[in-house]
Order: sequence, then C-alpha cells, then structure tokens
Amino acid sequence: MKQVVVDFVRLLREAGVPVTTLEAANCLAAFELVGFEPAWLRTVLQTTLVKSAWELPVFNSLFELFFAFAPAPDNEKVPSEPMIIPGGTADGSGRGTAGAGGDASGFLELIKDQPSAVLEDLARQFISDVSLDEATPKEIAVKLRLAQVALSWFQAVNRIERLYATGKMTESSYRQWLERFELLQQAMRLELERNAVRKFGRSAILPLVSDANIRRRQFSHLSSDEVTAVEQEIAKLARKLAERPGIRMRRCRHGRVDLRQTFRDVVRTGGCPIRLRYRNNVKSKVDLFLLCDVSNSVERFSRFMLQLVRAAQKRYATVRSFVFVDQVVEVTEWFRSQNVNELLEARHMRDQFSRTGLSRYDQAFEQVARAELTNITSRTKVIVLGDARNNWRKGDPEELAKIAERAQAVYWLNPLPEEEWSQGDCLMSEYEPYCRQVFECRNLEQLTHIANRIL
Amino acid sequence: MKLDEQLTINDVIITMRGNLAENGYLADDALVMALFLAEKLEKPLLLEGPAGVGKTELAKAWSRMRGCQLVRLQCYEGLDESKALYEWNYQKQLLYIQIEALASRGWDAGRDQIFSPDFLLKRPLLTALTSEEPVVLLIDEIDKSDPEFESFLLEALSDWQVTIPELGTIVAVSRPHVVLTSNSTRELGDALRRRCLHFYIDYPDFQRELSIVELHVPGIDRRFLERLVEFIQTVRKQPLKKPPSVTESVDWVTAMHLVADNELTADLVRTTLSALLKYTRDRNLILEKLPFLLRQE
Repeated sequence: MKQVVVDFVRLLREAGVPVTTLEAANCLAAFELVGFEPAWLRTVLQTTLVKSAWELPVFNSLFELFFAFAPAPDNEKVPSEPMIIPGGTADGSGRGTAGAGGDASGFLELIKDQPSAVLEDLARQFISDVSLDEATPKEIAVKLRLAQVALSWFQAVNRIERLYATGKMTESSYRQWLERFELLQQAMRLELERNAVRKFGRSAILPLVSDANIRRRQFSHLSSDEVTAVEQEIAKLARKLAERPGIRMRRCRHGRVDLRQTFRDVVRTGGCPIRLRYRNNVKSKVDLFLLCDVSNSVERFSRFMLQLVRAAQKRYATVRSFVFVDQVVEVTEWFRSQNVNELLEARHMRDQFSRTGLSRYDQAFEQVARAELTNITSRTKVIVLGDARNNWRKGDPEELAKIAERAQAVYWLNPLPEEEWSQGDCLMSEYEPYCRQVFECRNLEQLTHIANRIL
Repeated sequence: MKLDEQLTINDVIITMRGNLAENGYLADDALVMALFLAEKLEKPLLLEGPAGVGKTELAKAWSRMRGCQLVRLQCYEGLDESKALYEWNYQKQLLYIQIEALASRGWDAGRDQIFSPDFLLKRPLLTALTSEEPVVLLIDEIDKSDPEFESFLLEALSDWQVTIPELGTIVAVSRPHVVLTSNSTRELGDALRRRCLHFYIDYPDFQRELSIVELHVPGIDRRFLERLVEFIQTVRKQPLKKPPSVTESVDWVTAMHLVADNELTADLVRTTLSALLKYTRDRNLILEKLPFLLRQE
C-alpha cells in the first residue's frame, strides 16, 4: 500500500501538482484509518493530496490511468450478445454497413436513455479495435475523432441541435443529450488512454496526465471551459502582481532608516543626527506599451495577456495597449469600459486592424515608430506578443530598433515553441537582437513565470 | 486511531451522514469522508466552491452534530491579530490602575497584575484554543483576508498554539475542529493549503438539490417541485454572471410555493425571478430564453 501511494504521489508531482511529504504522510495515515478500500480510494487520495481546483483534472486523469491496472483488462470476455451498431464501424475506417458516415439515428437510438454504466460499456466497444501508434495526447485526439466519424457522431450531434433549434426538443432533454455525448466522449477518451498505457507501459502515463494540467497545456489547445478556468487564474495572478512591491527604494515617511541621507543631513546640524530619514520599497511605476498580434494563430494568447495587463493596471503609471494584424489600433480607451473578449469579437473593430487577415510585423512596427516614438521614454517597457511570422514578407527590423533605442526595454513573448523560431516564415532571429529578452510563452505556467520576471 | 473492530468504514460514514442529515445538512459520501478524515487526522478542512452551496452551513451542522460550540471568525480585508486572536482590555486596565493608586499601594503592587488573563479580551481564535470542550472553529471566507493574516494562521492551525508576548505561548487545551471556507477570489498561499484537507463543493445535482429544497420547503407538491428544480438546473447551465446558489433556489421555490398553484408559467417566473437571479443581465438573458426553457414535451 505504501509503495502504491508513494508511486502515485511521485507521478502527481511530475505532472505538475506540488505534493509535500507531509501530505503524503497524511494520506498514508488516512489509509491506515480507513483501510485500503477500493470504494474510498479516490475520495481519500483526493481530500489528502489535491489542494486546489485546477489540480483536480490532473488528479482525476492520473487516478483513472494509474488504478486501471489493478483489474486485468478483460479482453477475453466477449459480451454475450454483441451489439450491432448500424451505420458505423468501430475500426475508424468509416466503412459501415450503411456506407461511410451513414446513419446517425442508429447511433442515437443506441445511446438514448442509457445509464452511464452502459455508456461506458459502449465506449469500450466502440474503440475496442482502434490501435494506437504512439502514446501522445495528439494521437489519442486523432484516433478519437476517427472513431467518432465512424459512428456518425457529428451528424448525430447536429441532428439533436437541429431538433432543439426548431423547437422539437425541450431545453432539459437537449441538455441531457449534450451531457450524454460529453460522457460518452470522455469514456472513449479514457478507454483510448488506458489502451495506450496497456500497450506502451507505465511510462506513457505521464505525457497523458500532463495534458490534463491546464497550467501546462498550450493556450491554443484549451477548451472553452478551460479558457474560463485560465481566465480566473489570470485574474488571481494580476491581483498578485498589482500588490507586489518593487525592488527599488525611494525616500519615504516611514520605513527603514536611510543612513546615507541621514548622515548627509548631519553636516547641516553640526554633527548631530537630529532628523532621521527613511526609505522604503516603492511599487515600481513604469509605462507599459503592449503590442499584441491578434491574428488567428496567436489570438488566444494575446487575449490572456491583455486581460492580465488590464487587471494589473494599478501597477503601472500608464498602460497603453495596441492590437494589430496588419494595422495597428490603439485599444487603451476601449479597455476602460469593455472587456477583452468583446473587443476582439466586435466586427467593426476587427475590420480596422485586419485588412487582409495576415499579420505584418514590419508594418506594425513602422506605424508605432511613426506615431508613438516620442511617447516612448526610458521609463517605458515595450512588450510585443506574437509569433513573429510575417507571412513571407521582409522583416524590417530597423523599425523595431528605433523603438528599442528609446525604450527602457523591449520584451518579446512568443507562443511558438523555441525550436520553430527559425523555421518557415518566423523572423524571430531578425528581431531578437533588439529585444532585451525573448520568452517562449505557451502556457499558464510559463506566463506566470514571465509575469513575475518582467511585469 | 483505529476504528472499532465491529464497524466497517462504510457503516461509520453512513451513520455520520445520517447524523448530519438530522442536523439539517444533506451531504454526499465524499464530503462525509472528508469530514471524517478531518476529525480523525485532526486537520483543518478547507472548503472551496461557488458562493451559496452550503460551505458555512456545513460547519454549523458539524457543530450541532458533535454538540459543541461554534466559534466563527469572519474574515475581511484588514483583519488583524487584535480582532482575531486577543486584545488587552485597556479600559479595565486603566480602571484597575486608578483603583490601585487610590489605595495608594503604588505602581509596584499593580504592575504584575495588569497583563494577566483577567484583562485579556479573547477573540475567536483564542476562544477556540483555550476552550475546555472541543469546539468547531469556522474561519469564514479566508480569501477575503490579507496574505499576512494567512501566515499568522499557520502557527495556530499546524501546532495548535499561539504566542502572546506578555503571557507566553498558549497551547490548545483541546484541539478544535477547524473549517475554512473560500470562494477563491484570491489564490491562497501554498503553505496554508498544504496544511489542510481540501474539498471542493460544487452545485448539487438534480436529486440532491431536490432533497435539499424539500427539506427547507416542506409540504410542496412533489411533481411541481421536480419541475421547479429541473428549471433551476437548466438555468444554472446557461452562461450567467452568477448562477443561482442553493440558498437562492430555496428562496425561489418558497416564493413559487406561495404564489403559484402548482403550475409553472412564464408570467409567474417573470415576477419571481429576482429571487433566483441577482443581476439584471442574467435576468434578461433568462427572460429572453424563457419560452425555450419552459417548453415541455
């Protein structure tokens, strides 16, 4: 039992959940109390090891895969009456009896009003023949999609949505259908993951579990629920940033005694330190220029960053935000009343900063340098967000050089993985010499780290 | 810390759940287990979740179940030691000094007396630690307090002791059962988190909400109630700024019970909706979708 718990804790740590030794000890104490009962396994582990809401998906995912080992996979046990799925096969080929992707009603009939246990059983059947080539989240997503196509899944969802939209289905039964789809999809994904672990061994657990950690998941791979979760985390991060004192010291009415100032005054009073001078940490107030690429490839990342800076406004003397695709538009005023998502969804705004829909860094820098150069001072930090992919145009780094020369520092946050910075149309190597630092920023963990360093 | 040999863990949990229910709190098994572990391992229990799902209520039910006193510490911005732990009763000290002076016994006689427990005003934390009987200490909305206060709590919650400079270290007479609640408006420090057992209370599912509401609104027609709870569950799934909490759904069902004749109509919903949703935007959204939401097969 001890070994199992220790193993579990080790994997949990590797997947990014901090677990202290004390907690592991608590967990063992709890098991001594409760006994190693399968029914209580999850609750006991969860209450003792998981300490925040974002850790829960990681825990769940690991738990499912880790303890799937205990009962041997019952491959031998053939269901007494094999269910025939009309119109779809489970091998991912899409060549069902009713032709490729044919009949959705058979599928709907099959899962209608089924309790979750039956749905799990169905999920196992649906993917029993799927073979995985590697144990990565990507491979699993692809194979899951293929299996769904074979089941006419998407037609089925579409049909339900149409029934709802035309008023032939009540709100609550529509919700039930959606829940059923969700449940089945999760069960299928889990089954695929289990297969992967069975086939490729325990080493496959970690990459799959890490994927459940929203702090390590790429921004572009987040589902809508997870985006909300990340937004909450960002609000908390912003609050922390806004409260954090800077490292510079400034004269102050109270605080630490400033010996140098005090002794300087001593001269005036003939050698007697009559008045003490103090100094204290002050919140560093800098100007911030935020230049965000909001073309499709990096939009979500820019959203998060804009939200972060907007929420942490208190920290800065002035914040000016610009968005661009091929034209730069200042959105500082807009942010005072509207939130980031509404801005980027507003059609008339989009037309202003995106004429062609292709990002043009050279134009953006040129426009900023032309219009704003005088406003950029030695107290200004310029932060550029974007993937530096200029759609095969010339980079013109001289314009960025002009900005960099005047500003306190230029930081570049790039959501592309570092090894792709010199590939394709990515011009990072041209721009890099003018930036004080360039960061790879693809997930919440990296964003938190960077925010603590430069914001 | 072993259990009785005759009782299995399942029996213990079922009994405990029954006891909680008698005291007006319907909990699911996982939550009861968390409570059981918190009691046996003597760890604080940190409850997180949206507002109004019964986090505070659980602490109250726990204290009723164990028949002990509930000591509540409501957190807010700017809460400090003097409000949470102790304060010297200055007025009383002054009076004492004056009386001593009248008796002209001088300062020396009184000096040792004025910083004695007689002049100590106990605030919730100290009350909980010095109580002879174990108490349930509820530290409500810990996320509203400042990070400094959180660090201050660490000593009290992990070692069950506090230090008062004039009196020395005070060790808990009996260890209190501690419940901390948080709406996670602020990220709590890891140090505090890691010292607690954690449980996330979410909105209840249909069956549980049905029994909770039934408990609070007795005598309502069962089918009508089912319809109402179903409506609430659907409303909660809409993109709202603040989804209705359990408290609000109890309020709304009470209101509907008063005005409606076992019939859920759009007009009635329109007049009572302010009991369920507290933002105009949310109300408008629901009113707009109302024909869809009320549609029956």
